Amino acid sequence: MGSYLIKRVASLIPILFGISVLIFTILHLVPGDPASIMLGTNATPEAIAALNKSMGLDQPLINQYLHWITGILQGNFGVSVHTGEEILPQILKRFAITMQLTVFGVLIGWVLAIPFGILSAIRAHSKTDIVVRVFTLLGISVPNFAIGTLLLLGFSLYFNWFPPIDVVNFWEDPIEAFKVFILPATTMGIVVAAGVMRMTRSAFLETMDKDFIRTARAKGNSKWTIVIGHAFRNSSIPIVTIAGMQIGYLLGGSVIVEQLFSIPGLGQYILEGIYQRDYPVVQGGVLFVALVFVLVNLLIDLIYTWIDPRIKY
Amino acid sequence: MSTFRKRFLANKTAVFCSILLALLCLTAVLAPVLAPHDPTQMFQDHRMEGSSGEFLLGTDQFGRDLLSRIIYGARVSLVVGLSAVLVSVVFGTLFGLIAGYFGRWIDGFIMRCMDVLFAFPEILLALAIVAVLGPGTFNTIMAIGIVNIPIFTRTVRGAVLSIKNLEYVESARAIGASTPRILFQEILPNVTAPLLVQSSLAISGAILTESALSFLGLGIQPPDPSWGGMISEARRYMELAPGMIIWPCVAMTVTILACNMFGDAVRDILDPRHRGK
Repeated sequence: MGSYLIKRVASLIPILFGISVLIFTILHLVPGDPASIMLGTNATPEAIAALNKSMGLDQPLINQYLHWITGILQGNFGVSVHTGEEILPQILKRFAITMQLTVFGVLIGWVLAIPFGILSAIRAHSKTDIVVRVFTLLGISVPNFAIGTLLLLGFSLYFNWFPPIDVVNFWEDPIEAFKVFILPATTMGIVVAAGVMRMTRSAFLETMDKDFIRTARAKGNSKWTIVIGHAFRNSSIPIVTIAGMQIGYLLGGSVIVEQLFSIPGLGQYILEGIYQRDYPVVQGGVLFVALVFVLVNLLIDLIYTWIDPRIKY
Repeated sequence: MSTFRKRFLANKTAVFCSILLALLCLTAVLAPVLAPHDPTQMFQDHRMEGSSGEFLLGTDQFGRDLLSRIIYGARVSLVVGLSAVLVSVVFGTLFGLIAGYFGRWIDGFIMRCMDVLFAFPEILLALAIVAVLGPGTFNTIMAIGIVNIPIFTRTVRGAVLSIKNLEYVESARAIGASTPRILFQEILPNVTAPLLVQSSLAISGAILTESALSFLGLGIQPPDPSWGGMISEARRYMELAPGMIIWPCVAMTVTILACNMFGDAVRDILDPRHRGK
């Protein structure tokens, strides 16, 4: 396990390097002069020259990259061109909001998905199964912004209710936070549930066919002992895989959900950066999300060995 | 191929979805004939109306006919979806063939690059690319195309690895066939099955990403109608004219659902592991 961990972490180094090069290149692929694009058409030549100098854009590319990456490694993500604020504190502050939203969404998704996925597998071709399959097919086919918009529409038309505008921290005011996050988290939850339910169903269908389940049945175990005690752990590898992949999609999808529900999370921060052509913000934000995504994948790999001790790397 | 045709025709979902998709393509191609109005024409006296004889699905905030905009929107979605997948297939296949066939450091290099692309959530990478290239139809296609290259590279590489040492490839090598000939005439035809499955599954994802980018205002630009953009514009008027949101949602759901079910059906037909389930 220890040597695997070292190997796995070491294999991340070239990937992280690649990610940083790719994101760095983004700024330099912008057609034209990045400084004048960021400052807009009314910028004076002096202002452009000053921005070029302060961001080091007049240096050779390799020096610029080295300067940027040393800064990142020291926790210096630079400052926003638009507001002049330090980027990293902003990212961390907004990531806390995105995390609350994501965790809430994942919880809703899993609570829906796992019981219904199992139920639909052990009662294959029943009415429950058909409902579950229609739900999963719709869940992966309707875009998250459409689900969110329809939820907003439904709640405002039929209940005359809108989520509060001011976002509060869950630890400070759980009830108010619940009101703020319930619709966006449900939007995310439906998408999560569809994917996890689909995978839970197919994983359970496969496991329930195995010989050891037949043996457990022959020993006279009750249906639910078999499902919980024997099948669950053996079906959980693909479920964990899809769950891990989804956390990445949620981090990306949060861009849309946050925009739709006006939640000032990391996704909205990146989007504001794109709208305002604030490239340091875009770079910093995208880099941060990619880092989190890579770490989540690492964590998932480690969880595999814990779920299934037969997996040895 | 004839067994494929037989299996395809025996699969009701596949047949149903392909008819549905064919109808959608026909709608897209015949948009100028089918649409009752010009999708950008504004009928100032008929703003945000419900359905009527003249405007079957009603009108939007500028008095534009919703049905016509949805019909033209099908054009945008399908063109962007198919072209983006084409971009990913062409580059993904090329990289996958090269990586799988040559192995060693070339393989290592290509696959590490793909790992890097994989390290980004899909929509975020597409957003970053559009942020650089600027919005617009062509750039949207490129962004979605680039994002999906790694999936195709992995699929093709895996298939190449499993067949590159088979006897028929070896005999081609023995008779002195050139490397491009081996790659494109011997190996490529035998990776088409996984490629086809992956492409049909990728189209729905590409359409989803396009609509999401347009929803954020970074994909297809107004006044061109796109379903994502229509939903985004309609949000401000949702209580006055819910149809402005509901109809594009229905159109999008039907299209993506048909693509997804078609992709699943093709996989069931072509992938021996799914056969008979």
